[in-house]
Amino acid sequence: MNDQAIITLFEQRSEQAISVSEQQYGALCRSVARGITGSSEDAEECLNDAMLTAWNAIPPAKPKNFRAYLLRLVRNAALDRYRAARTEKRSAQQTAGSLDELAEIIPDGSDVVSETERRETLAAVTEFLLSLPQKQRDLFVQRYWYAAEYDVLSKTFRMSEAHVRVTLSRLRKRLQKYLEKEGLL
Amino acid sequence: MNAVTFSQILTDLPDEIVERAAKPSYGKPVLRYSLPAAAAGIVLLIAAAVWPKLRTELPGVTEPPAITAVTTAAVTSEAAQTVTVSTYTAVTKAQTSAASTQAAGTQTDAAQTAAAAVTVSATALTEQNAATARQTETAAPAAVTETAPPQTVLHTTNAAEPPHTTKATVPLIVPTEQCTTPGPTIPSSVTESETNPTPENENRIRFLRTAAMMIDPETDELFESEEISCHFSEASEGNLTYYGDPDANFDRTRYTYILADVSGHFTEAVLRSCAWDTDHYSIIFSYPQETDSTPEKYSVKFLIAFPKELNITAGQLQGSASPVPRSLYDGLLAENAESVPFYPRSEY
Repeated sequence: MNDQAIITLFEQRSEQAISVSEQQYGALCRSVARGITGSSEDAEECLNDAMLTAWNAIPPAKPKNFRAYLLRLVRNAALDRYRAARTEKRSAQQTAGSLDELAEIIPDGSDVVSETERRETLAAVTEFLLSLPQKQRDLFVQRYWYAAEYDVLSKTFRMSEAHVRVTLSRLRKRLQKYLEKEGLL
Repeated sequence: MNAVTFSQILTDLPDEIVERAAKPSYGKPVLRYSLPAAAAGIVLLIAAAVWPKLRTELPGVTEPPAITAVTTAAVTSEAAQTVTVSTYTAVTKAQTSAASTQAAGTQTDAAQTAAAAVTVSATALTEQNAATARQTETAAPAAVTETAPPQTVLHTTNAAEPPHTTKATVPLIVPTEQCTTPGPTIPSSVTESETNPTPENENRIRFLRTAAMMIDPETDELFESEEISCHFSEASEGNLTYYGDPDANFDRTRYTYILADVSGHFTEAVLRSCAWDTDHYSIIFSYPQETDSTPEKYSVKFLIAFPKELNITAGQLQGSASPVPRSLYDGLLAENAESVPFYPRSEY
């Protein structure tokens, strides 16, 4: 079933929309959520939260790309859960590696970010990613958007795991310099 | 801002970036494997192309001329007209030995042999041709005995036979009764091992071929030519047969030249005929006998030229030579010397 048909089900308030969405994108959503939260249980709850959000938002929302829309909901849910867990000082083992890596270049500051700063940061990161070669861009997004593990990245990009780590480390440093140059860090 | 906030900002990355990264398709690193393979292939190709040239340029290594063995029986008629027929025949060890023996024989024997050949009439020769033709390739002479016509001396340096040589296969003609006796089967080619050349044979006749370019003095056409050197260790009579491309469609009478006197010695030889015969060019000649000659003296060079665009230079030279008495040579010189068609060297 294509995305448009799923959205139509949401608009018709058919519960089948949830089951179809989960059947179609559930695995990917769980993977992203698990990559961020580091927990399968949390990932499942993130997926449920995302489905509920989508159910409440559609309609009136009518996303052009339902898959990306659902993944964003899952990411936000997972990040909220991660933030909550960190606030509760839960075990560090449950934290995700990708966020730890980002923490290397992003100084730990306030959770509150102005909309302007948010928009500028997003534009800068987008420009930075577009300046990268396709493979490096995909690698970066896979790791820090989809929260893919290194072994998965190694197979997907047919690179050794060490090579993936080194490449991502260099990309992070380049991003840090770029954001500093833009005055965002 | 912290990492979680930053990651939340990343969530709003444009769809095209996120979607493109979701389905990366990176195949095997083709260059990693294909480049070395391609490089190795190129090296092999270059080596294959360059190595033969390098090999011939090594000191002491020369490219062997493409020559196969030919047995020739030269028969002279009462009118002193030479008829030479070339054929491919098996030269057994015994025959080769006989040839060597004959070559080393006395001049008296050679004279007697030649005289016997001269007595064969043109009519007899015609009959002999017809009889021998019926024998096809299996009609080799039973034996080449002491009474046979001038013996054949062979120098075989390349066993490779040109692809069209089967067309030129002609039964051996021997102007004696022995020729009617069925002989051994004639093979399509003669290898060096079959001929078993002795050092003596090897020195009897040598062919050197040198590719050269020339311009037709009359038409200014560019020609591809081959200079063919024929060296003898003593006075000889023989032929040279140049096999060009039988499929080449051109007027051979116009476009084929034989240019002699390249060596400056040819004027002393007698070029008795040179003409295309179906698919090969025959050059028949005699050479004087001189007791004090150096090997270089017995040297004849021919220059056969073809239009370059015909691309028929990959011809096959075959030839043979046999001793001839001085008396016979003098007679031939008197009758045929003026008809030798060659261009002065200065014209090419």
